Amino acid sequence: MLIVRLFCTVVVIALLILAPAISASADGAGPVVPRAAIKVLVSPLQVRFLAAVSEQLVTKYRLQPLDVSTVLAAPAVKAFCAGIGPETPDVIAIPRQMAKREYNQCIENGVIDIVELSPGFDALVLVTRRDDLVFNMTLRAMFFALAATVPQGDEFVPNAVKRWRELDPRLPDQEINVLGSENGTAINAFFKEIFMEGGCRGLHQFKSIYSSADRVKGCTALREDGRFIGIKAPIAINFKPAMERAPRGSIAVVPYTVYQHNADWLSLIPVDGVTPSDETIKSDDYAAVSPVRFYVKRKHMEASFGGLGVVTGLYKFIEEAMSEGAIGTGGYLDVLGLVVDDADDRRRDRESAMRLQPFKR
Amino acid sequence: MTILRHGLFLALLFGLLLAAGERASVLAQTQAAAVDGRHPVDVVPPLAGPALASMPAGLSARRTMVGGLENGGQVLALDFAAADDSVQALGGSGALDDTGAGDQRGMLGRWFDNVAYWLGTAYTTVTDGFTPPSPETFAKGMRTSSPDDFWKLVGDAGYKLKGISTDVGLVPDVAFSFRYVRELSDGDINWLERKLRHHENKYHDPLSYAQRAIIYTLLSINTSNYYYVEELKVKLLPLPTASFNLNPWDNDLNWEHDTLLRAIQGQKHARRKPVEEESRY
Repeated sequence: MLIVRLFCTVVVIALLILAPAISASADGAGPVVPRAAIKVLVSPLQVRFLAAVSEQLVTKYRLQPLDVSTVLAAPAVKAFCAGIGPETPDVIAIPRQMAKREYNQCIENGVIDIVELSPGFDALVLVTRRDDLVFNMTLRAMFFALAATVPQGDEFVPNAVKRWRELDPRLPDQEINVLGSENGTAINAFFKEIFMEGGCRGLHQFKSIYSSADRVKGCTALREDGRFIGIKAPIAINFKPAMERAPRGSIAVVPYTVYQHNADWLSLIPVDGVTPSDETIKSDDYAAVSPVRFYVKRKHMEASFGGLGVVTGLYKFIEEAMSEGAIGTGGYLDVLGLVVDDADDRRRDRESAMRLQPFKR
Repeated sequence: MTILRHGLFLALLFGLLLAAGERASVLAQTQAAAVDGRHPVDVVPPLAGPALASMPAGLSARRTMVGGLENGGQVLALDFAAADDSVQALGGSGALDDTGAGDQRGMLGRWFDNVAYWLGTAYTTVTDGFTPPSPETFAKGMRTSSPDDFWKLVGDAGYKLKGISTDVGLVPDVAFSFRYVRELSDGDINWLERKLRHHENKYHDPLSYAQRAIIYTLLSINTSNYYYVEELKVKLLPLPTASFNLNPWDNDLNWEHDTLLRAIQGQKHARRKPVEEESRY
C-alpha cells in the first residue's frame, strides 16, 4: 500500500514538473534553440532609427545585428499578432499606436504581454521653397485640391480644380502642385490618413456612407492628372531633385526630418493655423503627428523575464532603445530626426518599458 | 447612497407639492383680491405663461417641471425663484394675509422652495453636461455645437440621433436615442482618440470625465471583434445614465436586407428566400 502511494506521489510530482514543458511543446510555442538575431519588422520611416539601435547593440553588448525587414505598418502588425514562435517577429516599429482591432487580434492569437516603447514622435510637414509664398493650409483645402473625385451637391465629380484660389479666396492664386511620397509607401499611407481622410471628414456626402472601407476609398483616391507628383522612395534622397524639377510655388509633403535636413532652402507651411515645430509636435497640437512606437513580445524573451526564450537580447534591445543616449536630447535618435519627448515623459516611458509593463488598449 | 437618493427625491417631491399648494393658495388669494379690487397691481402671476397660470394648481407644478426640462432645466430653477419672489411680494406686503398664519406656511413653503431650487440647480448642472438645451434646439443644433461638445463627440463616434422620448410626470424623463450609422475607419478612431486626449487636457471636471468614459466605452466595444453598440441611450433620471445596446458584429442580415443589398450590388438573380421557404427544400 505504501509503495503504491509513494509511486502515485512520484507520478504526480513528475507530471507537475513536466506539464508546462509538455503543454509548451504541444502548442508549438516552445522553442528548441533560441534565435540569436532579433527579428524586427519596421515601417520604412523608422528604418533609420532601428539601424542605429542595431549598431549600438552590436558595439555595446556584442549582440547580433537586428534582422530588419521593411514593411508597411498594417502588415507588420498583422505578422506580429499572428502568434508566438521563432517564425514570428519579436519586435515591430511603426509610425502609430497599435489600433484596438489589431490589439484584440494579438490577444486572440495568444500574443499577450506586449511591451510598448514610445521613443518619440515624427511628423509629416508641408514645405515650399524659401522664396515661394507661405500661406496657411487647411486639411479641407488639401482634400479638395488632390482628391480624384470631389462632392458636388449630392454627386461626386472628377476634380478639375487648378488653382488654390478656386478653393478658398484666402489661398494664393497659384497653381496646385503637390509633391509627396508615391503610392504604397508608409509616408503616403500616413499622408492619406491625415490630410485626405481628415480633409473629407465631416462632409455630409461622406458622412452618409456607412462602410468605412468605401468612405476611405472615396476620400483617399488621389487625382492622376499630374497635380500630385509622387516621389520615389527613399524620399530623403529623392526629394531634393524632385523639388528642383517641380514648378514654382509647389508644395511638398515630407517627414519632419527631411525638412530639418533641408531647412536652409525650405519654409514650413502651417496646417490649420499651426506651424510644425518640436513643441507643437510634442504637444500634439500639430495635425500630422505620428507617434513612433516599438512593440516587443515579452513571451519571446528569456525565461528570467517571463518569456519562452525564443530569442536572446530582447531586454537589452528595450534598454538600449529607451536609453538617454538614444532618446535623450542630442541622443543618436534625436540626431536622426526623431522628435524626442520631454525629460519627465522620457523617464516615465523608460521606467514603464524597463518594468515590462504590459501594453493595454 | 440609495437612501440619500430617496431622501433627495422625497425632499424634491415634498417641495414641489408644497410649492404647488402655495401657488394654489396664492392663486385663490389673487383671484379673491382681484374680485375685491385689492392690490390688483401687486399681484405677480405665479407661473410664467397665462395658460399655465390658469391651470389647476395640482397640474401646475408638473407643467413647470416639464417646461423646465424643455428649456434645458433652467426654467425649472428660474420658475421656482419667480414663485418664491411672488410669494415674498405678496406675503411681504402683508396685503393678503394679516393673521401671520400664512407667513408661517409661507416660510415653510419658501424653505422647501429653496430646497427644490437648490436641487433643481444641482440637477440641471449635472444634466446639462449630458443634455442639449432642449430637444428642439438639440435636434436643430447638432451642427452648430462646439467641437468639444459631447454631442459632437457622439456624432464623431459614428452615431446619429434617432429619437427623443419624454415622460411627463412629477418626475419627468427625457431620453435621447442614438443609432450607429457610420463604421469608423482606423483613421477615424485615431482622430477621435486624439480629440479625446485634447478634451482630457482641456476639461478636468467629473462631467467631462463621464462624457469621455461614454465615448471610450463606445470605442472599446465597437472595436472589439464580437459586438458593437447598435443603440446608445442617454437618460436623465434618476441620474444621468447611458445605456448601450449591444449587437454581435456577425449578425446575419435578414432576408429583406440581404435582398436589398444584393439588388444594390446588381446581383438581382441571387435573391435569397426566407428561411421558412428554404427549409422546405
